[in-house]
Amino acid sequence: MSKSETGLRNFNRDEEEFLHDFEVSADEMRTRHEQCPSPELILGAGSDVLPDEISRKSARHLETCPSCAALGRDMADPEIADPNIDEQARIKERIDKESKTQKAAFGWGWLWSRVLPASVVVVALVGAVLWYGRQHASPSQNRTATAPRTGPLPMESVFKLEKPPIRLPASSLLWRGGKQKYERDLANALEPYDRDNFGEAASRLQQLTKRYPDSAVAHFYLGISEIFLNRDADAIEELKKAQSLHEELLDREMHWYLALAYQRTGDRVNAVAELENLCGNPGAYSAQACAGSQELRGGTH
Amino acid sequence: MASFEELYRAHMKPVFRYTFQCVGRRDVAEDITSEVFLLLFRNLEGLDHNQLPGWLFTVAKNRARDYWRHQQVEQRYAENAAMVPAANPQPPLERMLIESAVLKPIHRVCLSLRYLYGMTLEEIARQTGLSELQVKGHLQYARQLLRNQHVKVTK
Repeated sequence: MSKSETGLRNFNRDEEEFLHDFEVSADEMRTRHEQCPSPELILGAGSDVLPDEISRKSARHLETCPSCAALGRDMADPEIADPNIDEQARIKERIDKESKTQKAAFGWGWLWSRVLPASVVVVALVGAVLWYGRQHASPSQNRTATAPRTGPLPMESVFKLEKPPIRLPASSLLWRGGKQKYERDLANALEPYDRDNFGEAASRLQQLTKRYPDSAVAHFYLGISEIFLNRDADAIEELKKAQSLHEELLDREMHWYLALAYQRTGDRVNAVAELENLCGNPGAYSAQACAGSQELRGGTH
Repeated sequence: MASFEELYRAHMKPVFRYTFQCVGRRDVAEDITSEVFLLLFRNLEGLDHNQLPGWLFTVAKNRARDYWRHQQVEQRYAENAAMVPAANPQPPLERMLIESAVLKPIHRVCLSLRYLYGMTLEEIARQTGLSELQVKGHLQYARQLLRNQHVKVTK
């Protein structure tokens, strides 16, 4: 741990006398504990949230170091672990501020109900044009069209849960029969997803998957919503269904978010399998996938 | 069905406490607690309220895992350091600090962070959520309690 040198040197007279009474020197105390983990690690060790290797080392240390074990117990005392008045005020202020923004956004619901379906139609047209272009492009153009989104991503982003933007493949908008109704239903189901209301999105998308069981888009965004709701096992089921429907445009997203869901449930084997798939094929999510795979296999950052 | 305000009032402190125990840093616990309740706010309608408060703690735990995964410095430390305590026997002060029945947890934490882990008053204040003045007061009081106990034992 990073122990402050000045912390030990700046003892006042009473503190020096105190240590003298107990016949111990500051240096001796410092030497005894310079190999101890930080208070953060001591606390985290008891919570099943640390990466495996650190967790093992910290737990082993706590078994043999009564001072650190006592510190871990004492830090959990409500007098210390509860938020103080300032912390409570800041949390409240942040929630008030952001929830007001949300409420204001909800007030525009009437606009969404008109703008979103229109957007879907525009995206449909763009998608259809792109799809047509890809089918008729030369091989070299084709490679350009599917050029991977590469570039190293910062390590901080690996496994960070980020909402994928709504992307609608042309096929989802050229639904066999009842095209307009499907578009309308899809727009309605994705509207709460767009404003981060994952509970409502999951509910609507679930209905949608019942009506359109072959809609990869519906299963995919339902899976994503369920990850955000911490229903990781359900998310895996939905993402697997989406994957089985072979929707090319969302294929790499499906692998990535499936890996993320597996990783969140602690299923490293399947998470690594999905990541390797992305890592081995250059394109979107490659860099994260390679880093994530290395991390799960026990590699270091 | 409980309103957001009711849920916030009922569960904010336990969620913060739990998160602090997971990450050991108050500023991070503050951020995660805010995120958890914002997510609750956004998903209140679609959420099965029977899942509460478990849902809140699961979200907090996942965020705490994400946090630790990105703490590369801590990880490197853990990989390199032996993390074994010194083999020589505990000095009487350290033994008394752990075993003393007269000390409250807050006293032991302040004493440990100051004399075993070598922290400054400012660092202790940041770790405990107390003011520096409060830390100073706890240390003075706790030293006096230990001295009194020490005198009794050695008599």
